[in-house]
Amino acid sequence: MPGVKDSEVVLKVEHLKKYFPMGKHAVLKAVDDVSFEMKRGETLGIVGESGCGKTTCGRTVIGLYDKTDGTVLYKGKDVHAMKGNERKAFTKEVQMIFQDPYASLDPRLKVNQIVGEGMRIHKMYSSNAEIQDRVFELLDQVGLNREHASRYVHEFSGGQRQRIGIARALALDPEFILCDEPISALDVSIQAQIINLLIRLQQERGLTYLFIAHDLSMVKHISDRVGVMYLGTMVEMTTSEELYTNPAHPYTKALLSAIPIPDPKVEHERQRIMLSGDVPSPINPAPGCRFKGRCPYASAKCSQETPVLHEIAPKHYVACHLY
Amino acid sequence: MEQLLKVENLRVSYHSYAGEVQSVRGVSFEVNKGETVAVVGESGCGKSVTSKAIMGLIQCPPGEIKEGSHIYFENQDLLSFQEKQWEKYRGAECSMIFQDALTSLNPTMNIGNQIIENITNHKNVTKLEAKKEAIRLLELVGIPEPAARIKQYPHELSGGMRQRVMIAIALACNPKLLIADEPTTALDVTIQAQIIDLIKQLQQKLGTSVILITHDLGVVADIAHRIVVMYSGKVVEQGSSEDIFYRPKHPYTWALLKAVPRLDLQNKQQLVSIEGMPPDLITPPVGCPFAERCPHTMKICQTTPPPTYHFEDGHEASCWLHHPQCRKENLPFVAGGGQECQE
Repeated sequence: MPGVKDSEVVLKVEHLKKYFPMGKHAVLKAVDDVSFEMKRGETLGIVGESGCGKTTCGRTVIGLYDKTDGTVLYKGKDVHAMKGNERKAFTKEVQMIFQDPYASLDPRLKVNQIVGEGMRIHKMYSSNAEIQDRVFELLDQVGLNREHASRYVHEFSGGQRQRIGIARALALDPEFILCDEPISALDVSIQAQIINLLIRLQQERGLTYLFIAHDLSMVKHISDRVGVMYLGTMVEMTTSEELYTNPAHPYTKALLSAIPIPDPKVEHERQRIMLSGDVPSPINPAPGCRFKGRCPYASAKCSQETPVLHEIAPKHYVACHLY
Repeated sequence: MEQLLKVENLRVSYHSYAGEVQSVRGVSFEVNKGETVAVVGESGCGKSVTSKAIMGLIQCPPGEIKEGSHIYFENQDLLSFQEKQWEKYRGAECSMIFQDALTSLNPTMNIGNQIIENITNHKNVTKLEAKKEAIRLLELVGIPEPAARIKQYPHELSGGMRQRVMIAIALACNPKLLIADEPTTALDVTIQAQIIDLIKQLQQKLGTSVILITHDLGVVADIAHRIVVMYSGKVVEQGSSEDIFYRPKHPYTWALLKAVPRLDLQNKQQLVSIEGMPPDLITPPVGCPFAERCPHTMKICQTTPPPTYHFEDGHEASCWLHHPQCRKENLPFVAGGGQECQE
């Protein structure tokens, strides 16, 4: 699938499926046959509306959810079959930054303990003093200071909490970080701070990011490649430049057209592609293309055959019968 | 243009255990008939409190509207209203759309009854007429099969649909002013575009004045005629949409515009970020509230609040950089040339 050299591939996801049973006859197909690859040091953005399965996809990829079918290979090893020491090493290398900085930090722990917990679990340092030094160093890297280490989480603002979350993720020297909407709960002026921090850390440490968000302009800014998800399927995947200059899938075009542009003249003149209606339910989806109900170009073929991701230009993959 | 609403030196405080939080500290702006005014600012800057004050929804205590504040609606001072007058005004003259439609709608009432309730409260009509009106309103806000939907409950609807129902309830009595408090923050981009488009269409069709409260400047570019930028309880800049987007006169506005990554920007370039955090409003800074985060801060900014400078077409900004004696070097925008007006 989306081609990168095998030697550099960190993560390989093939035909991943994650279904949730909803009673006797209903199945919620949150992720349905998604494949992609990621190489070391790159950022793959996944965008889509809420309910499209992007978070479930991310969580299944790092083994927080069991898969229904398919394979996820991290450095050639099956994530869902790991056990014992192998699994422990994996959880050290792969970390996650959560969406809600209010709910994802333990209110009863001090920042010190939150950031240091992983280091204790993985026995990375022999003495508490070393851990303490490392915590100070991490806080410094994410733009907090030493005094913050002895405070509780409720004393911080949203942006500062997100920095604590990032420090916690960095504590274990990870190679791969899953960023699940890390900025959507923050104010515009703080969003730029966090994005700048993530970009800087990636450049310094060569981190690999799987960046999940619904804000397309932010995703474009931070990602090398972007995948667009709709109702559990990947409908388009390409480099971020190509996606924004030459979007192919009708859904991608509509998504791009919905981004508000902070420029009144451009806004007044541009023709929006308005999608009518909402995202349909992912419970027992009808066969064929998932987007057919809202697609302006839908034809008879779309309800019969499910389109598969195929290459229409170098490194540009689309799942649509139009191409 | 005829003036509909005038907020004059509005000051609102909340009393908490930690002390008095001065959420709104002297806000003045106007809304003309048929105009859309966007109030932009980050969380905690007092934009929602301002809108609640206009609706008479500030709970006292713990809230307190300070002496010397005035809100004129068609030349009547709202702050002198008795509860009976407020009841007549709310819903009929001025109504509000809230951010979170699920918690603002009544979960135990079907959506039809929630619209009918508003109509029968203010107009002398029969239940049947009100029901017909409710169906017409649902159709107006773009809900398919309104006659069947009227019996549904909020939990049966999607986020975008709920927000449409909220708009239908708000418009039930043809209000002169519609306040939309972050109506699209909880929605996806495609649905956000639909809702903003709907508000714009309705505004043109019905001639309602709209106050749109948001933290995202991008959202308002298409819809706002005028923009009021708030920071830590004060208006730092206001002017026409073109003035704010193309000729910002305050470093905060300029940074807000730059903090949003534009699609034509180079990938992974560092964004212009506003370092630090907004000040604590229990002990607000004596000088300019933005001084601590401002890259162009001067000595005077720390000690004296800046005067408001008036430029052409009602464009005004409160910043010392426009003072004639200030050196105007390395500024990202054109400073100076305004008329000083110290309150």
